Amino acid sequence: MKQKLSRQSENISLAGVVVVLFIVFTILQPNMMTVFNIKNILVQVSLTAIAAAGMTFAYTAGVFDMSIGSVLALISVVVAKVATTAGVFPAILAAFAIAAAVGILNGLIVTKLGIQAFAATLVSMILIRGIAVLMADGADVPLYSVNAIKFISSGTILGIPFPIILTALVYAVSYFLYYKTEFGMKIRSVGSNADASRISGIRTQRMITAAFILTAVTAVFSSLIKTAQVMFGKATIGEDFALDVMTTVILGGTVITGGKGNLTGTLIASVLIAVIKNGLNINNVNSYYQQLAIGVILIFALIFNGIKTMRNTRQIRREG
Amino acid sequence: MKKINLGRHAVILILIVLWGIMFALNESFRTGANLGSILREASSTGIAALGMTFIIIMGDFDLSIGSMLAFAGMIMAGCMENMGIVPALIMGAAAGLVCGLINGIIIAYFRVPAFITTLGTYYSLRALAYIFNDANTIICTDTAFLKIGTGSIAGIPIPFLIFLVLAAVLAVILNRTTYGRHVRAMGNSEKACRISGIDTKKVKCAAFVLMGLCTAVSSVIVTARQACASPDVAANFHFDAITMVVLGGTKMTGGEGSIFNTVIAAVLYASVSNCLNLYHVDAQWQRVCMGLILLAAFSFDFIQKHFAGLRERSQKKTIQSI
Amino acid sequence: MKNLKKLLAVVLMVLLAMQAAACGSSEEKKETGSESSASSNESQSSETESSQDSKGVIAYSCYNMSWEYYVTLAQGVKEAAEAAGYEYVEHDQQSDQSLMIQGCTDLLNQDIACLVLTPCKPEAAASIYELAQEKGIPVILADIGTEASGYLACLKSDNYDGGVLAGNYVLDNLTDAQSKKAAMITVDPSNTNIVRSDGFKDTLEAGGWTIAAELSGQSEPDIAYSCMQDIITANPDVEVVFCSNDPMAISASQAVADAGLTPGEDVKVIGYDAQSNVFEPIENGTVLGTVAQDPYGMGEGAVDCFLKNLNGEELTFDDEETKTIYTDQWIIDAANAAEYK
Repeated sequence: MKQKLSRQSENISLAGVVVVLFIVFTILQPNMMTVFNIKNILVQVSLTAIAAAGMTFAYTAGVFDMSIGSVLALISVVVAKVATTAGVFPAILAAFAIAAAVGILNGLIVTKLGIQAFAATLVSMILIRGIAVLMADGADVPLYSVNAIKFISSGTILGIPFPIILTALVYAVSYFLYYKTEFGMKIRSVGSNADASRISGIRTQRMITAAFILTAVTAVFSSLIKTAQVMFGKATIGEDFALDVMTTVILGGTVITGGKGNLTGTLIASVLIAVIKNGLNINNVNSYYQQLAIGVILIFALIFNGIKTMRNTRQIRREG
Repeated sequence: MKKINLGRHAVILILIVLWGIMFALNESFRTGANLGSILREASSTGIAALGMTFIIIMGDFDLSIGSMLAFAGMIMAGCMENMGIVPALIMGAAAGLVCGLINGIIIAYFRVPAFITTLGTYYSLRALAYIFNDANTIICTDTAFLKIGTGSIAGIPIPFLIFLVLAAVLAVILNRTTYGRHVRAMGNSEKACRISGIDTKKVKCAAFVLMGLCTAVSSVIVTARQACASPDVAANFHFDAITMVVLGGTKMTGGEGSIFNTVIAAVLYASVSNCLNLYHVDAQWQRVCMGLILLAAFSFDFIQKHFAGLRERSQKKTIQSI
Repeated sequence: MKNLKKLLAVVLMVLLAMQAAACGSSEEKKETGSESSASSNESQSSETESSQDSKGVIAYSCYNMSWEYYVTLAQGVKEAAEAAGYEYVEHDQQSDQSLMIQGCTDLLNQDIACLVLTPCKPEAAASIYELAQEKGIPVILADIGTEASGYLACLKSDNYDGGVLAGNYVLDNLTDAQSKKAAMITVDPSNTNIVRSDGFKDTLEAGGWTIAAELSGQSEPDIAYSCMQDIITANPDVEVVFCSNDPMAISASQAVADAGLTPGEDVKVIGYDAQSNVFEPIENGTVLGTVAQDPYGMGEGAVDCFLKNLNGEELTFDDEETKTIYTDQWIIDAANAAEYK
């Protein structure tokens, strides 16, 4: 009970930071607080938030995925190539098939070869990027002929941009999976204690592989939105995507040693990062100050967390 | 039958085989200039890999070293214009030390996992490197300084000499001092160390400071070799350094590792990319190739266990058949 | 011990396979190289058949082969080299200055005939010139020049002037502009091509415009897209956006359309490089125009310089001091797009 409360207070304080930043930026540049810009921010949120939902599952299972930036690039090239030759639906199918394959591959390397997640996904990151560049063959793959795909990034339903609806859907499904199903329970138990879970009959290797698949599949949504936005496939995009997504998940309060994820926190943290980037952009601040801001906020969040956990353990020691 | 640790010997065997084949087959490879260039390339990343060996032995890793290298380089080159070489070198080393200290304090004293701490400094230091001179490259013209990167003594490149000296010092620290023993013990079990009275925080923090210093030395060599410091240098530096350490048989899970093997792995890594360059393999294929090599290196442990398992089984069978 | 032997065998096999693969690919290349040189020999018909492979190797070290612009440049070097009976090899710096030095050193150590170089970080190329001079191998720069000396010639188009060209185009064609507000989406601030936007900025400001926003799209289209969104938010009345390369220009025009504005009417986007997939947007009006350079000509010209120098001919420079030969730059817009497609 106490834990639940503390998580809620964490989320509330994070949301507080978002609100304060938003107000500060609005004072600096009144155009911040327009319906148009809020829509923009939410669309920008969707790019990382969706992949971050999958990454939250991975962290909960005690692993993480460095390769999603490369997956982003590969999917964008594949979608552009298939959509222009065979149509939008085959392209989307191919995208999900590739993502699932990548997830399974990552999962197998981690579980069967016993390689750490960092190392395994580092390898697949390099390999997948190589494949993406080879497929694109030094050129951007234009998508202008396929107007249908534009709906993914800028179509609206009842006036709400589709990426925002997609984010809501992904989070609804994630919440359900994470908190209401046996699958979510098993993932959490694998992350908090793999040995105990194995003994109690959970197929830990399958759970970890499933977490990798979820991460790669959610990255597909991000990739589709990005590709539809710019309307061509490019093999060099997303170099920093994996680190951005991980930063989001960690800022959101997910415990990186596994077992405890915080989906709400992840969502709020993606809003936070989008607000920082957007706010600095519309105030015409150079991109490297954005990096600095994100880095410093991350470090302070960590120090703050570290102090809190230390105080907690001390208190427990005193009370016990 | 004595159990043979494959990871321990494989890297030097591979290096010998590779060099043997290349010596026999490729004329360009066996020239002194080419071998010198391999050693030179091996040194700049290799020196950072030495520090990384300590960190990985403890079971952590450091993602921020590429950004740190850029930052230290900018500070150093900036100071060189108006202060001269020696103060500039000291400032560069100080920058590395401070960055390492910040990492170390946050990781050890606030108990934040190394992965995310260094992720934070990865962003911040890179940004600071950009801000330092408003994203402009600083050119170094001092010939004495440039010699550090491009000169050689008795045919051996100066960076490689620095690399060897540092490797010797760090090998002694790792294998012959109490501190080194503590580092290795930390990788096996941090809890056990704490219980047995080792100041684990200090040990951890010191390792990250050491990493910072090694990065600063790398930064000197990279800057001197390129005759300039720029904020976007060394984007994949951390991956290369980690790869070298792992190629050298140091386990990602911590506990064991050797400086000597890291040196060999650094030379091997540089040799492989040199060979790929000599045969003009496309960059994309080079990337794929490096990925596969990395996978092979990470799988050492698995292969070893697998073979050990097979052997046990076959032994059991023979026993049964008898 | 058995264990070790087995593994040694495996390792050996892998290495041999690698070696074989590497040899195979290089042999393939050699074959294609000699084939084309043979065909060129036929056309010249006077060349001796007995000259074994080729006259030597012309190497091109490229900024980043993931960019179409440089692929075209490499094509120019390759075709000119092979037409002259040389073998062609290429190296990709992948935008990394350490890889640039490493790769160029490896090329120079193989005693090539000539190195054509597009330095991703020109300031860092000094040690390459030094080594090249030591070995007596001419270095010819294409597309990007440096301040250090030691190269034979430098073929480039002045990127600052290209920005000026785009700026003047705006001043000449958008005389009915109301807000006179422009914005720029630039490359990474440490990139040498940043001077493109400087040229644009200076020209427009001299013409009475204001640069309302300058954001870095870091050369990547997806980042440029969100930059464009944010520019529209902060400056809804922005009229012209200059993007430092075409992929960014295309994605910026998409962002304009997605914001409910009409690209080409409300906000006009100008690109740079004249990449092949920018022609369609230019023709249907979503991108106003692009500054075209001639990468193929640069590559061809670089080889030409080498050959002239080899024959002892004097090279004529546009700028003697920096040994620069400027190649053409021009604006491509809807009026002349079909011509260059």
